[in-house]
Parts: sequence; C-alpha cells; structure tokens
Amino acid sequence: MACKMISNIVNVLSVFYTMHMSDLLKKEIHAFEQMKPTLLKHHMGKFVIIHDEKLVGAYDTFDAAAKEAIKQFGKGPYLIREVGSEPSKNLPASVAYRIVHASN
Amino acid sequence: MPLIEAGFSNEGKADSQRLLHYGPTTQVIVCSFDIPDKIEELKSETVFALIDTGASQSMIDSQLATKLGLVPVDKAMVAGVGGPREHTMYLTRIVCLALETEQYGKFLAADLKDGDQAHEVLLGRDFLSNIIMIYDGIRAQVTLASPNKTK
Repeated sequence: MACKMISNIVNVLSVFYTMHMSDLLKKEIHAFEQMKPTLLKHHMGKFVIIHDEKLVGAYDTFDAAAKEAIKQFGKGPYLIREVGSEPSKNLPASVAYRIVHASN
Repeated sequence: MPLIEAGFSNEGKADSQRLLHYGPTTQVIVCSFDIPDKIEELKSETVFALIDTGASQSMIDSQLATKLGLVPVDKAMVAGVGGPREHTMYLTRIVCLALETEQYGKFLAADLKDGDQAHEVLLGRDFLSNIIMIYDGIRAQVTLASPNKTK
C-alpha cells in the first residue's frame, strides 16, 4: 500500500518535472526562432546550443555541441539544433495503423 | 558479420502469427548520451525494439525517457494518421549488442507504452541504413546483419 502510494507520488512528480522541462525547452526554441536571421547569416550549417535563451556556441558537429552542452549544463534543458535544417517529419506507420480494437 | 533473427519461433517452428502481430523485434539497450566515468552510474534499460520501416528516424518511448532521466534538447512535429503532433527529442544512445551497432544523438519520444505498444523503441530507416534486412514473410523469418558498425 505504502509502496504504491510512493510510486504514484513519484509518477506525478515526474509528470510535473517533464512538463516543466518541456516549458523551458519551448522558451529556448522561441529564442532560437528570434535569433534565426542572425544565426542563418553567421552560423549556417553549424550546431548551436541555446541555454537560458542565449546562444552558447556554434559547433561543427552534433557530437561536439552535445558534449559541450552536457559539460556546461548537465541535465539541461537546452536546445541543440542545426542552423538551416528544420526538424524533419516522421511517419511511424506501423504504430499509426495498428488496430487497437476490432470486432470480427 | 553479426547476424540475428528478428522473427518469432515456437518450439523451433516459425511463428507467423506473432510476427504478424508484433512485427520484426529485437532487444536494445537505451541509455544516456554521455557515458559516466563510473560505468555503474550509467542508467540504462534493456527493452524490445520494433524494426519499423515506416519511420524515417528511430524513436523511444516517452516514459522510458523520463525514467532514464534523458536530457530534452529539441522538439519536432511528427506527422501521423492523427495529424501532426509535437514531440520532444532527447539525447540518447540506442545499442544493439547482438548486431554490435550503436545509434546516438537526439531521438524523438513517442507515447508508445501509453498507446499499448509492446515495444519501447522503434528502429527506423536511419538504423536500417547500415543494416541488411531480409524479411521472408513465407517462412516468417526476419534476418538482420550489420556488415559495418553504425555511427
């Protein structure tokens, strides 16, 4: 009983934590959009880190940017995005088309 | 060359029904992007992954991302039959020991477990770009081989 209660509390806290992180990440994305014209002009093709709504640096590879972001800010959140490359759209068709309920 | 079976068998016989139901399945390890100096501090989970030719990129389960404390680093729109939806991307490593392959970078998280999906990882066409896959529907066998190590 007590274990289940603790587990439920942990689950609720993790949901709030995820929501909080998601909101912070949205701010970083908004900052990226604001900086976009400058970034496109000076850092086209580079991987940038945005933290606390500020540009931290521009790197040649995603690896280099990720390592630097982890070193400086640990668990984040922070935005790492390639300048000039919009996040792509995906279609996980096998999941999307799986029948959940069907009657014969 | 590492080679594995991603199909299903029952007492040595190919199980076409389970292959039809679950799809090609293998086990992978999901862990954080950065490997700590003390390996015992690495949080990881061994989970089932669906080889998903319909997904352009590999994806992980949202609950798994939270459980492992993965770092959120971006958001992206994903188009599905329910329309486009925003998903968070996490810094992650996906390791397939049997194939000696590793993918790392930022991966989309989807509500796979919440959607009653049996898998916690979808291995998309980015994973398959370094893999040979033979899907033999008649014999209900799926063979995967990795001639080279993935990125």
